[in-house]
Amino acid sequence: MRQTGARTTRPSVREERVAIASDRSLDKSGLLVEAVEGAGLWEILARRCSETGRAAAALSIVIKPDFTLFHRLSPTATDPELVERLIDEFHDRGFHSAVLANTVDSFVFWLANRDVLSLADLAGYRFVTPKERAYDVLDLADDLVGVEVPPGSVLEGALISRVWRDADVRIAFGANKTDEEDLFAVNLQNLVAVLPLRDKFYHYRQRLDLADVATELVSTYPVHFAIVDAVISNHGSAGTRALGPIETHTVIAGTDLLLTETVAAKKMGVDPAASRVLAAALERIGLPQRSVIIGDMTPYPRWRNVHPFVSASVRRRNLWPEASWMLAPLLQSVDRELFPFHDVTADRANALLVRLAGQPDADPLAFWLCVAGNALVATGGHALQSWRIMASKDALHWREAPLGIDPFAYSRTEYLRVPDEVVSLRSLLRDVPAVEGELRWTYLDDAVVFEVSRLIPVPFEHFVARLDVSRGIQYMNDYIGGRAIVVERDARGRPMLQAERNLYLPQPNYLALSQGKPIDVTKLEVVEYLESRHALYWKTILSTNGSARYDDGMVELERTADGETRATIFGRQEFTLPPLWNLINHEANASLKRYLVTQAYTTFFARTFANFEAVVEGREVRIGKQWDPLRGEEGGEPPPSLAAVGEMLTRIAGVLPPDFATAARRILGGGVSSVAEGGILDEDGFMHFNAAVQPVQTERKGVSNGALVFIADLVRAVQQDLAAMASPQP
Amino acid sequence: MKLLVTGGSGLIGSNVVREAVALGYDVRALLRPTSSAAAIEGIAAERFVGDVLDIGSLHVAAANCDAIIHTAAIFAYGGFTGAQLHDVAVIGTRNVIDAAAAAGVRRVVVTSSSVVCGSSTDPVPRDETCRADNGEKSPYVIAKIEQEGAAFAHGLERSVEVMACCPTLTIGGYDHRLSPSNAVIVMFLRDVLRLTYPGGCNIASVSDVARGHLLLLERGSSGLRYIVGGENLTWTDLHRRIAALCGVSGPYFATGRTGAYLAAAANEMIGLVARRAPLTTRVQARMVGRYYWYSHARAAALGYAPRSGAQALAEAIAWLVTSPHISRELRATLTLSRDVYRARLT
Repeated sequence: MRQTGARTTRPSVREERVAIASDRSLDKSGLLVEAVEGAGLWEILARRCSETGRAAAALSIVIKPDFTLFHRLSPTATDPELVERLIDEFHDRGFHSAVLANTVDSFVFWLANRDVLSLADLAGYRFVTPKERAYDVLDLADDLVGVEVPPGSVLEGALISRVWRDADVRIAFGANKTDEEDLFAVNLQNLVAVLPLRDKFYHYRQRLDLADVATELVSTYPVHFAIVDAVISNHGSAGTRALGPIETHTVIAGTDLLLTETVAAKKMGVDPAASRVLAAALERIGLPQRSVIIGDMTPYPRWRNVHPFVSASVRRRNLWPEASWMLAPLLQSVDRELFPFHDVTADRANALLVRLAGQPDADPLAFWLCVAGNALVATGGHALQSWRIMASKDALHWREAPLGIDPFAYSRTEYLRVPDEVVSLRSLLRDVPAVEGELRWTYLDDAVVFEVSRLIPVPFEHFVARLDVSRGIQYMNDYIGGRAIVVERDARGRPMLQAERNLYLPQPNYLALSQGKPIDVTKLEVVEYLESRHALYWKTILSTNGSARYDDGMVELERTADGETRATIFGRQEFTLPPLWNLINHEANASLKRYLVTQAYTTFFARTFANFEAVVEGREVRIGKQWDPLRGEEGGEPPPSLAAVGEMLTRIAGVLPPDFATAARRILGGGVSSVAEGGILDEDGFMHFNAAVQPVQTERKGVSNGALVFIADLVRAVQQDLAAMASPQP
Repeated sequence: MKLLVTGGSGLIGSNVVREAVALGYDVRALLRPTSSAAAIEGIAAERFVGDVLDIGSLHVAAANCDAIIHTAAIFAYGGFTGAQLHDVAVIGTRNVIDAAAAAGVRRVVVTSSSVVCGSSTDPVPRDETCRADNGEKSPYVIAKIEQEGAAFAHGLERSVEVMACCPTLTIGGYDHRLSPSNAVIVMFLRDVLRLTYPGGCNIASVSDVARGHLLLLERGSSGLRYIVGGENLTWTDLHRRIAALCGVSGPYFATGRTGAYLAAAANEMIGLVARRAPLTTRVQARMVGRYYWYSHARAAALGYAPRSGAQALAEAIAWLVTSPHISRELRATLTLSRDVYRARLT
C-alpha cells in the first residue's frame, strides 16, 4: 500500500536557519536580538520587501505571540517585554507596520477578561513600546475571508482573518512549555489561535483533529519566521495547566517553523515526533532539505518533561469530548483576580481539583490522582463510546477528516487500473459456495475475499435515479465520516474518477469494547454508468490509522431480466484486530473464526443493502450527528456548562410525576409530616392549597389508589395467566 | 356532493379525504389550528380550520355541505383523562350533529370503534349485536360507547340520519402521529425480544376502512352500527406475518398477560422520563389474551369487500418504513419482502 501520497512538496530548496541564543552574558533582549539576527530575520524581511515590492515602512508584519495565560507574567505565555523589544527592533530598522494578533479561546466561556484586548493588557502588553512606539493588538476574528485550500482539506469552508492572510510577514512567537497531551506545545499550537472560532477546544481539537488543523494552517499560510521564548520556560507534567517556571535562558529563532519546533523539542530532550501535532506536520510537510542550526543543542538542565503515564492518560481522557471539554478548565490553575470564573460552581470545582491534582511532579498523591482520575474518565468515556457504537449510533458525532492525499497527484492510468485489479480478484470466488443467503467468501493472504448480492424488487431506472452509485460507500453500514473529491466527470457531470476517505465504526461493532479502531481508509475510485449497470470500484491506498491492510472492492447495480435491480458488493478486506484479539490463536478455532466472519459480513451487508433501499425510499441513512460548525458563535449552540448540567438534572426531576415525588418524599420521610405536602406545585414553583378539601388525605388516597390499581391489575393478570395455563386455548 | 370530513389530518380522516377525492366528492377537511396537514398534502380538498369542540367553527364548516363524515376523535389508550376523551367523543359528536342539522345536512357517518362490540375470551368473531362487558371498559372504550349512544340519540332528536362506522385495528399510511394500531407493528419491530402474546385482533387496511365510511354514507341505514374490518388473526400470527414481511426473525417468546402488563408499565415509565407517548400502555396490556375478532357481514351486505390481512400489513409496512416512526437504525435491520415492494407500487 502506497503511503506517501499525503506528503506536501516543499516549495523551495532554500537553506533554512535556526539560531539558538543562550549566552549567559546576555540579558533576555540580547538573547532575542542574537537569535533573530543569527537566524536571518532581517534578510527575510528584505526578501519580503523585494517579493512584495513594498518599502520597509509599508511592509505589514503580523506577530502572533502566545497568549496561554492564566497568571500574571506566566511562562506559559510569551514575555511581552520580548515582543515589544522585537517591535522596537523593527522600528529601528525602518519597519513601522508591525501589529500583534490573537483570538479568544474556549476559556472565554468559563473565565472573565478573556477577550483579546483584556488578555493582552493583563499579560503585560502596554500597547506602546519602551521606545514609545505604539502598536495594535488585533482580534483575528474580525474581517474574515474564506480559507483558500484545495478540495479535501480539513479547513475547506473555514474562515480566516484577512489581516493574517494578507500579511507580508507572519511571525510566530511562542512560549517554550510542556503540554499534558502533546508533551510540548510551542508555535504549532500557538498558531491555531489565529483561527477565528471561539470554542477552539471543540472546533480544533474535537470536531477536527488538531494535527490536521495545524498542518493545514501552516501549509496554507506559512509563517515567515518563528521565535521561541525560552528565557523562562514552563516545564513539568502538568503542562500549561499549572505554573512550572524554569530559567532556561534561551531564545530560539528560525526561518522554518517545523525546524524551529524540532530544535525546541530537542532542547527539551524529547523526540519531536512524540507530539502528534509536530509528527503529523513533519510527515506531511517535512523538514527542509537544506538547513543550518546555530547554537547549543544540549537539552536544558533540570528540565522535566510530561510523565508518560500522564500524557497517555490525558490522551485517552480527551477521547471523550464532552468530559474533556468540561474538565480542561476545571483543572486549570487560574489567578482568580485576573480571570474570575463566570460560574461559582465551576470556581469551587476548579479550586478543589487544582488543589488535589495541581502539582503532579511535586506531590505523588497528586500525580496518581491525575493518572487515576484521567484513567477513570477515559474508562467512562470508552464505555460510553462503546455503548454508542453498539446501541446508540446516532449519539456519535460524525468524523470530519481531510482527504489525506492529493487526488490529482495520481495519474489517470493509476485510477483506471483499479477496476481491472478488482475484477481480477473476483475469479477467486468462482467455485466458492454460498454460506448464508447470497454471501460467498474465502481467504487470500489473510484477507477476506467476499461477494454478497441481493435482488431488490425496484425498477432499475428508478433505483439508479435515486441512488448515486458514486456515493455507494457513503451509504454503507456504519459510515461515520469522510470526504470525496471528484477528479474527473463525464459529459453529464457525474463523477467518473474520484478519491475518497471513509471512516467506519469498528467492525464488528463489539470490537469497540476491546479498543477496536475505526476503519479509516483512503481510496482511489472509478465509477461506471452503463445502460443496465452502474458500478463503483475502489482501491485503498492509505489507512491513516493503520486500521486496514486491504479494503478494495466494488458496488454493482445491475438491471435483471425482469427490469428489477440486483445489487452486488465484492471486495477484499483485511482489517487490523485490536491487540487483545491478536493474543487469540484464531487458527486453532477455525470453525469459530469462520462463524464470526460469516456473521460479521452477513450483518454488515444486510444493513448496507437496507441502507441502499432506504436511500431509494428517500430516507437519510447516515448514522451519527453533525458537529455544530457554529458552536459558541452567534447562531450556533452554546457550549455546555456546569449550570447546564444542573438544569438538565432539574429537567429530569421535572418529568417525574407529582405522585412519584410525593410518594418518594413520604417513603423517605417516613410519613406525612405537614399539611404543605397536600398542595400543588405550579410551573413557577408556587405551592397552591385548597382550603375546601383535606389535601393530605386526598393525596394519600390518590397515591394508594394508583398503587392498588396497579397491584390489582397485576394480580388479575397473574390469575388469568394461571387459568390459561390450566386450560390452554386452542 | 360536498362532503365535510372532520379529523382530516388523522389516520382514518385523511384516508377518507383521499378516497372521497378519488371518488369525485367535493371534500372539505376540517383541521384543528394545531394540526399538520401533511397527511393530505397534494390532495385536492379544501382545508378548513376549526374544532369539533367549537360549535361556531362547525357551523361555518358544515355550510353548503351535503354530508358529514365525523372521524375526529382522540384515539389513545393513555395520556388523556376520561373527561378529555368523553368531551371530544360525546360533546364533539353532538356538536357535529347540531351543525349538520343547522346546515341541512341529512346524513352523518360517525367513526365509532369495533371495541364497542366488546371482545371474547375465545376465538369467536363478534358482530354488531354484541356489547362490551363492564370488565373490559377502558376510558377509551367507555368514550366510544357513549359517543355512539349520543350520536344515535342526538341524530333522532335533530332529524339527522346517523350511521356508526366501527373500524377494527386499522393500519396503513398517512399516519403522521402514529396511531396505536400502527404502533402495534412498530412496537413489534422495535422489541429486541420480539414478544408475542395470547389473544387476537382483526386488522383492516385504512383504505378499506375509508371506503367503508363512504359506503355507509351512500348505503348505510340510519341508527345502525357497521363493523368495517378485515381479517381475524391471533397476535402470534400477526407478529409472524410482520416478521416475514420485514425480513426479521421472531416472534421468539410468547408472554402472558403478566409479562405484557409489566412491559407496558415499563414502557409508560420510559415514556414519562423521555417525555414521549408510550407505544403501549397498561390499558392495552389488559386487552392481552382477549380476542378482538369481528364479522363485517353487515357491511359486506352493502358491498364492503376488504383486502386480505396480508395485503393490509404489506401496505402499512411499505408506508411505515419510509416514515419517521421507523428509525434509521431500525430500518437498517429490515430486509423487506417482495410483497412490501409490490404493495408500495399499488
